[in-house]
Amino acid sequence: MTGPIAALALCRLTFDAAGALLFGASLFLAVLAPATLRGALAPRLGPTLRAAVVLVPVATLLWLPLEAAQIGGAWHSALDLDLLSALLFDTSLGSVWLARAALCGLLAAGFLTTRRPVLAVGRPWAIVATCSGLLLASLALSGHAAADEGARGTVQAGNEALHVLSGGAWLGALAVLPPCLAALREPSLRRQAELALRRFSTAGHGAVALVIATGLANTALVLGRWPTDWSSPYQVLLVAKVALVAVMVGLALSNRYLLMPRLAGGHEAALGSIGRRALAELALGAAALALVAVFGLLDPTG
Amino acid sequence: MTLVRTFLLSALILFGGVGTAFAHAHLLSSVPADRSVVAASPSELTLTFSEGLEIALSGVTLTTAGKQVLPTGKPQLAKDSDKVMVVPVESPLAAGRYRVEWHALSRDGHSSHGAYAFTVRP
Repeated sequence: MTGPIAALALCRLTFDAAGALLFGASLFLAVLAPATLRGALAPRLGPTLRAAVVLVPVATLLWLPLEAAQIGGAWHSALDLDLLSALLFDTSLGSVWLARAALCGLLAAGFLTTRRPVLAVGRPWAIVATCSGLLLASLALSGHAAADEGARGTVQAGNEALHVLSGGAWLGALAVLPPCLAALREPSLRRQAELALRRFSTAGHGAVALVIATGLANTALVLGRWPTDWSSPYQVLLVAKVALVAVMVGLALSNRYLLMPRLAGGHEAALGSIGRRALAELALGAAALALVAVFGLLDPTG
Repeated sequence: MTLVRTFLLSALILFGGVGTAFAHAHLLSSVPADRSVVAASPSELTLTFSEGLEIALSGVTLTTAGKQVLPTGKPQLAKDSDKVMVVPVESPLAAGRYRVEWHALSRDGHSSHGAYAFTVRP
């Protein structure tokens, strides 16, 4: 893998991870958490969310020159103005990029209003969730789906968008789980935290089911075969990602069906285990995203 | 634990396709074809790829056996497919061997390149 291609993979990983974190976390705060809990959780997530709000636009900005470097096959192509303007104004990738740049502006504005509620915006977290969701969904427009034609391409892009959104919602919400579990120990927040966790449990089933269903559709639409050719580095990485996701689903199910009932039965010790497993899921999810970024740049037929 | 096992198996099977989001544009065929011998000068070069192309950043260089670069028209997509690039040949090709070096940017942002050759019969 040459320099610009590796940099492009890193850029995509940053965009995916920060975008998923923002989308899932803001969705949790906007939809699952009642107002008092939201007010208590937001500051505890502050540094993480701030980092994500900075990283999404940075990765977006860097993508354009890195893509130019990849096309030109050399670092200096990153600043080739003719190439950059052709990429920006004459390709569909450029149109997607312009839309992303605009969404990044809205995202930053939405995030600022969550911190300065003096501005008369009713639901700032819903704005953050919408912008980060649209940014994530835009991945479907620059992926393989965009390379296919007609109705098949549209179905594929829609499926891919649903896949990244459900996956992002799952991963990002996991980041809110530890502070939400900690809130169970605080008498003033306990009831709202319980409510949010019950909602998360229901919504989580939906998100994971959607991730799997869209994964199935993606297999049918894109691959059309099992990744069984182990001489291909691409397919080996794909199988590694499948294994990671399987462990994530296992952890999620053990949290829901083994530890949550224990917690409800009064075993406070289960609280720590649930939080640790949520973080382990998050780490595995990040690793899965890293694999996507790398094998997304490999040739599937190679 | 049947539920858990079912979920794990489903995930293993179903996640097979996820992440195959990117692909490179491979040259599937061309007219004139690689290593072919044609009776008359072609009026255009047609290259069929495995992926949709960003035509603004795709193109070819046509050279003679003597490495002289010949003028070619602006590459365009075929009317019925964004996977097919058509490049007009500006002036008739004399008998001889020609080399086509192509570069393609697929819709998903991957660049690829390659070359093939054909001969115009005397």
